[in-house]
Amino acid sequence: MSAITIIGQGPAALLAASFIQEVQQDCVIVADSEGSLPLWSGSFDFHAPSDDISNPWSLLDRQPLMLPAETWAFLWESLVGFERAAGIPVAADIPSHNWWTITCTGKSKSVFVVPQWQYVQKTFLPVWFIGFQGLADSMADFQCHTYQQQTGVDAGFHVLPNPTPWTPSWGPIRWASYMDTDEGLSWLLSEIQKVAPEIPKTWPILLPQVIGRRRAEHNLQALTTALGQMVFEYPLVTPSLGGMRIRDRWVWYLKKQGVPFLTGRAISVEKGWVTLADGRQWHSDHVIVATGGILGGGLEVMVDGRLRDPLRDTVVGRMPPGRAIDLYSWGQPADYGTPEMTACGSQCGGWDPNQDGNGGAMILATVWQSLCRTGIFSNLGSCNSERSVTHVGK
Amino acid sequence: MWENDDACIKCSICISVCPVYGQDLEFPGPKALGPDWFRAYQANPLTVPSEHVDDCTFCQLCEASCPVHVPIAHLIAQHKSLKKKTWRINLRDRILAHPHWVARYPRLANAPNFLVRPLGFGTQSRWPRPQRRVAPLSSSPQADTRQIVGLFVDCYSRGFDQDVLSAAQALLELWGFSVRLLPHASHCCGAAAYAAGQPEEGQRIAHSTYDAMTPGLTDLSQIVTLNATCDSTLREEWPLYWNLSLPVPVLSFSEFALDKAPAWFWDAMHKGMTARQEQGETTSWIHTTCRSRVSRGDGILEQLADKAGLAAIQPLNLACCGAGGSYAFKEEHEKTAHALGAAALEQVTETHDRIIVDSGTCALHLTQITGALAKHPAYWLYQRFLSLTQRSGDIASQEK
Repeated sequence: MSAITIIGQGPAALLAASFIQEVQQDCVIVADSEGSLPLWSGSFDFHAPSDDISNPWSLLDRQPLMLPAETWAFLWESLVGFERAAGIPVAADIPSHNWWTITCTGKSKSVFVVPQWQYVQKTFLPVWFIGFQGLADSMADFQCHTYQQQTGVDAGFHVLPNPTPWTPSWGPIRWASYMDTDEGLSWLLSEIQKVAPEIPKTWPILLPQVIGRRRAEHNLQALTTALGQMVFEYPLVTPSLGGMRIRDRWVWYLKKQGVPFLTGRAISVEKGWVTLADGRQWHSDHVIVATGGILGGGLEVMVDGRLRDPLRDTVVGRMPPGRAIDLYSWGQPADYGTPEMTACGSQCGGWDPNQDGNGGAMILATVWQSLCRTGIFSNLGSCNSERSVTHVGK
Repeated sequence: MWENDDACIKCSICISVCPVYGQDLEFPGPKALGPDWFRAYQANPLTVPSEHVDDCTFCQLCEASCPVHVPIAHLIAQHKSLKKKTWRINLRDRILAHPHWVARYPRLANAPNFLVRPLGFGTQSRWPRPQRRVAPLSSSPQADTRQIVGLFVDCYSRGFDQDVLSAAQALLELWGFSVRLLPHASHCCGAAAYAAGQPEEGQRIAHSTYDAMTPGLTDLSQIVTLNATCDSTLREEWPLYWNLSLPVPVLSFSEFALDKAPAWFWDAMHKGMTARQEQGETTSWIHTTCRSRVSRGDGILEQLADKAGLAAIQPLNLACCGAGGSYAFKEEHEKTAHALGAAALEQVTETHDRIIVDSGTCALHLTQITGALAKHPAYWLYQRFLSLTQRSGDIASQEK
């Protein structure tokens, strides 16, 4: 049916599919639930173990998998290229350095590739937080206090009252739907204008990340123009509009490129034959298991190489077939899969993005490893040199 | 009764894919109406149903998105069944839950507004026009007939899309299959009743249809469906929820065509195109319906269109067109239904473009919104085959 089958539809799967379609090879995505993008803001990080702004290229040896700097640069630039092609406005300063973004609790977080609707800064600057009274996750007062304490930089805040249609059931998505209407934008502008005289003109205004789902850029630009000062969003917790916007556009971009998105649960992968629970079956030259899943909803690659369906606690296959592997040495080229099947995403050994703040790098590196095995990067030298891929591990 | 009914982890991914939640600011969304309501109802069976529960289209996108496989849409259908309605809305919903009644007497769709409005039917959405049976246009089959396939005649095709039905039958026969229309008389798979919050009535209807079909199934190799909702209902919901197992596999027309249509047919679809015909090629917009996406996924219609040599294939960027079976025919849903479909109008700017869609009601709705003709892939495939093989007339002219 297809040269390459990707199981899963989270960021690793979308990235893998983008690379594959870029070299005009066929691939099919199959998944039985949504990917994880709606659960995070979609900003990719590289490595953030400390509070210092870091040059990521000085931290190459801290990643579980040591790739050459030019490979990292290629991967990051490719990610930015794919996102831009999909209509996601990404500010790129690669490969110079990380940025700081500000979370909904006011903490600064190091990020690397960020959509332009989200506020980032190279050094800590004064900012003005705005929260919405009826949006639980926008805690502007707390945010302001934390930001001032952590950075020693001045900040201010306002909490806007609720618009007329608001009800207590409104969550972030409902707020964004409202902001996608002319009425919503008009309400927001008028409320900010009431408090604008108190906000220093040179300070950026930061709004919760609900300023529209389809019209976010339009709305932020309209506010910036009307107020005469920069307006951005800060990310909230799940469900995240940033991730949803990225998912909507990236999936759409791939569909337009002809990538099928099949719905179904893969229950076995055996010698290139992918079988779904509904009986559909096809052969692929290569299968990429991209089911890491923040929620663990996908297939889990266990440390002995078995593929487990965590919901039903059943083993549905083995990777690589017929041979146990230690996933904590997964980075070794000889051990991270077979020519027919590889894995990418959070279940791969050696990566701990929660601790190391390197989830973005993990996605890129593991997708790279998987795709090297498919041969689609055959013209790129670092894929062909096993010495260039060094496992560091824990 | 349900597997994973209490498994919700409140991740809200279901809300992120719900087309109605993104459009209707009063709609509480699938999490609130499904798993949240179910937990409250388990704790207190006197929990009052939400006044907005009927605003769910039963598209099932929420259920398909759930990482822990909560049967969200089916919990909402159960929720719907507890809602009290006025007699006139009850009557309307009872009619719409039995589309096989309407298919039996399709002229009912011609009822004037002053009669239907008091019952809560909308007047802004276009109503389908009855179509009489069209004789299949194919000549003798091109290959030996060795296999018999059952062509499931859904209510909409029976009453209002006979040209699609004829095209599908003609193509199947061209490909060398004997075709048996199933069921013989007007019956329904039960999906409409389930979507309307009448699961028990849906089950009764489904069993009746099963009984009407089963005597003629033993020599079939396959059942082919034309409507995406009926397709997933027969294949998945019948065995899962209503303990009905058909003895032969069920497959959509599109997947059947991709798998079974002979090579000579695809060759013919690519040959014989005159320069004038090539110039006249229009954009082929693809809309995979919600239920088709939930059941099988996106990209199958695109593959079919590509294999048939159609030019300029573009998927419509549309989560849900708003038709939702009978959703758009209800006065309280017309505004949402048309707002959902409005995104199609931003994309389909030429009325001579074609829209390929695997549901009759979605086709009707998209045609109204965009002005471009939306039809089932069987219709477009057969049209193209006729034009390229220089056969006389087209389906529409034969119908006259």
